[in-house]
Order: sequence, then C-alpha cells, then structure tokens
Amino acid sequence: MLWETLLRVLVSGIANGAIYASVAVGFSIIYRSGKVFNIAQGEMLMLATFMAMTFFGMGMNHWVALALTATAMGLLGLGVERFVLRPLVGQSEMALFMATLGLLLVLNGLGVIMFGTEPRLFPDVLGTERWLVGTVSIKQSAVLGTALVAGSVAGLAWFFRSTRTGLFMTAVAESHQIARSLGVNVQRSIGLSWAIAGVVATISAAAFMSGRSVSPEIASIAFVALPVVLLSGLESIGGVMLGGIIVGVGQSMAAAWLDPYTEGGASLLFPFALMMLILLFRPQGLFGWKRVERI
Amino acid sequence: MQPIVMQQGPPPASSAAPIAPVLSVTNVEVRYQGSILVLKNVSLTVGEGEVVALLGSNGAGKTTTLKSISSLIQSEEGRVTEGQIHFLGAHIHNQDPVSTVRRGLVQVMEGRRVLEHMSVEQNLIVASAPIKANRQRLRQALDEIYGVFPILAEFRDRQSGYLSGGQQQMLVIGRALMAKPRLLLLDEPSLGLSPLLVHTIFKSIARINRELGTSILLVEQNAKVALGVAHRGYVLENGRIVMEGTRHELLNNEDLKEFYLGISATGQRKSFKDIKQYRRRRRWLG
Repeated sequence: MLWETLLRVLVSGIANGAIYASVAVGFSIIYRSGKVFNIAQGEMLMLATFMAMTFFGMGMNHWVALALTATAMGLLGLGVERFVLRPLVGQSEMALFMATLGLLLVLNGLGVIMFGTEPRLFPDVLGTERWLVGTVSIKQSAVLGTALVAGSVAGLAWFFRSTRTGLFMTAVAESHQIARSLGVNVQRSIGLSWAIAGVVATISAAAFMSGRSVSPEIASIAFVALPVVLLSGLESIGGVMLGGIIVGVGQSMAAAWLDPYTEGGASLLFPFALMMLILLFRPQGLFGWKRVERI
Repeated sequence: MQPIVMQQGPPPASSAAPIAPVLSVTNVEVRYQGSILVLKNVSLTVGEGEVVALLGSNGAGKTTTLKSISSLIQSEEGRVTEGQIHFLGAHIHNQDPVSTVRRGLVQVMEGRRVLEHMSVEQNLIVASAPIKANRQRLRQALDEIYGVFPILAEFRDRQSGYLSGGQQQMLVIGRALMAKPRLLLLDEPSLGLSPLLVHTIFKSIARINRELGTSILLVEQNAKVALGVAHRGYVLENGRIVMEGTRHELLNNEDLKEFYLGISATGQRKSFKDIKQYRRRRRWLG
C-alpha cells in the first residue's frame, strides 16, 4: 500500500518536475546571457501552446505544426530581444526586469484576446496508452514528455559546454567585457539565447500539454519553475532537471500525505517554502556559480 | 620544447625608428562621459615585430591608452574625441571592439581576467571566436598555445578560477594568442606576481615576440623588467607622453633612472632623504 502510493507519488512528481525543468531551463538560458530575469517565460509557453493548437486546427500534421511553432517562437524570441531589451542596453537589471514584466502583461492580454479564456483540448501528440505497473497506471504521454524534456536539457547542457557557439555563450554569461575583448559578438549571443528559449517553450508545450485541456492560465506554471531555477542555480543548465524533480516529487509527496490535513494548501506552498530556504542557506543554488574568492 | 635561453636584451632588428608601423596613434585625446579629459595629445607607434613599453606611474593614463586603442574604453563611456588611431592602415578608434579583434589586435586586460567558471581549454576555445576554425585548425591552435605555455596543457581541464596567479597570467596571454594577433596589448602582466614569476612571464613575452613575430605594446609600472624585453619605450605622465626613446636611451636616462629604476647618478639606490633634492623635477610624476 505504502509502496504503491510512493510509486504513484514518484511518477507524477517526476512528470511534473520535468515540465518545471523545461520552463526553468528557458529562464536560465536567458538569465545567463544578459542577466535578465525573464518573468514572461510562462507566457512564452502559453503562446507556444496556443500557436501549436492553431496550426493543429488548420489540419496540419502534428510534427509539422510543432516545427512551425518552434520556428515562430524562435523568431518571437529574437524579436523580443531586438525590440524590447536591446534598446535598454546599459540600463539597470531592475529596468530589464520591469521590461519583461511588461512583456508578461502584454503577452497575457494578447493570449486572452486571441484565444479566449475557455479551456480547449490539446491533441494527444504523444499517444494515449497507459501502462500498468502493479496497480499504478502510467501514461505513455507522461513518459515520453519527461524523456523529451530530459533529452532536450541534456542536449542543451552539452551545447553550452562542448560546442564553440555554446562556449561563446557561456563566456558571455561569465562576463560581457571579457567576451567582447576576445572577439565574441555579445549581442548576437544574447539574441541567440532568446531564440533558443522560444524553441524550448515549444518543446515544453509538446511535452506537457498532450491530452490536456488548456487555457491561457497555464502561463502561471512559470511561478513554480522559479523555485526550480533558484534550487538548481541561475547559471546551471543540466542542474534544472534535478531541481525540477526535487520540486516535483516534493510537491506530490506533500499532495499525497499533507494535503488531506491542510485542505490542499501544502502542495501549493511547498515549492515556495523550499525557495525561501534556498535563498537563506545556499543563494547560488545547487549548481550555480559562486565567485571564486581569493584571500 | 627547447629550454628558453634568456637573451641579453632583445634582438637588434628594429632598434632604430620603426620601419613600417603596425599601429600608429596620432595626437589622441580621450574623454570619459564627454567631459573628463584623461589623455592629451598622445602619439605613439609600434613597428612590425617590435616590443614597445609604455611606462608611467599610477593614474598616468596607461590603461586608458590601451583601452582606447582596443576600443574597450566604450564600455566605460569613454571616447577618442581628437586625433586618430590606425592599425595596419585602417581607422580603428571608436569602432566596435569585436571588429578590432578580428583585424588582429587583441588586448590582455589588467588583473588576469580569466573566465573563472570555465576550464583552461574552454577559455582558449572561446578566444578562437575571431578566426574561422574547424576541428583540426582549432586543435592546431590549442597545441601551439600549449607549446608556449606547457603548464596550461597540464591543467587543461582545471577550472581556471582555481589556477595560481602566474598560471592565470599565462592563460590570459595564451588566450589572446588564439586569435593569431598581429599586435598584442598587454596591461600590467607583472601585477601581483612574485619576482620569479615575473621573470618567467617576461621570458615568454620575449619568446612570443621572437618566435611568433607578434608586435607587442606593453604597459608596465615595473620599468626595469619592461625595458628588459622592449625595443623602445614611452613614458606617460598625467595623460601626456613626456619622454620616448630606445631601450638603451631610456635605460641610461638620468631622470628615468631616478624615478622608475630607483638608481641615482652615482649608481647608488636613492634613499628617502634625497627626495627633496630632485623634487623640482617631479614634472614626470603624477
């Protein structure tokens, strides 16, 4: 009985953790490049979801539609960087943050205007089968979605560590001045980060929305991704997977064992209580960069 | 690699006036934020294959001179407001610093600015940004740097933030060489290093000049060690060039001896008691 509950908790926790991780990796990529905290990451996920649904509605093959969405989201990312953030170069981090807050409000409003507030069903792009493990049923779409996110995160981590372009972008994350002195085009790296974040939002949508009913409110998932980013460390790419799973599993444990006594409050509260603890005891997160101090 | 034999002074190749200047700075004036004047009428040249030292005390404008040549001054809201800077025949002042690097002019900034969360080899790979490199050519470039600084090969996978000061200095110089520059600007490579390490670093600098043929403009407070490798030198005070000459002329100049080399005319070290007597000549000092 306990094992069964535990298995169920783990399965739903890991699946939820994966979606948090996929949103969190978008945060990280953008933060690294320009020290901009893009609070509108959830809106990019929402936009990708509804854009894909619009393409599906036109009778397109699912994969073609997703590829088109990824392209469009990449371009949107480039556009946001070019027209919202680049004019603010040299301004304080607070000004940049406020710009992304404005972006959040605009995209949120646009989402409601273009897609309405009625929940709609996202097609089953990742299959509808269910597998039984003991008495616990596991959805094929959850397994494939988690694998898709894990694969993308691993791919991105490899890209930033082992390819030349990725290393240029990591150098930009360390110091714009050093990168520039070595001939790295800093502005292009930042633009590329936004484009990648747009594509990642499309992957999140494909991985997580399959077979769910969705409304523009799904953007709020980004707030649970915040504790994940802080837990894994703002500069870490691969770390978000572990951070996501810790938050996801912790949350479903709280849902299984504490929620009955707290009227559902514990699972809502858990990620943010964890965030407070991280900020108190390890502000750079598990894998984030801590400046090397020399005495 | 062959052991390095320290030569007595640099090769005599260009002891006279430079034949073909790689870099020429003409009557340059630099201001920060449009008003704060830091360089006044500065002119200097660096010839092909030449090592030129730019000497001066704290706040004389040495770093500003380098940064206005590399255009890195822009990120500090500085601009060249008068005069011209030419590199290999092209105007390079107030340009995008990235384009200047692509032309083959790389500055090594003061203070061993490694990318501290990245490994030694990753630091070097980032510096290949200005060259079109395939896997094979990148490997070749890396091996060339490891040939100049074997210690970097040994620590290639170590996080650069945890290298010692001397190793970090070798890393930033080696990193600058990845772009195969024609002219290297070095800002205070001796800063905060032990005398033995300073000696090693300057041997490497002389060797880079000799074997790779890279021209070097070197900023130093340590005049003695700088003139050990330089063919010519300039002395900067209060944002003005106040003296220039060949290595030999500068080493034998009485004023320079007193103010920068700490030796009096009689060959004895100056003591603080004597300061008053040459006070009137303090126009060199800031």
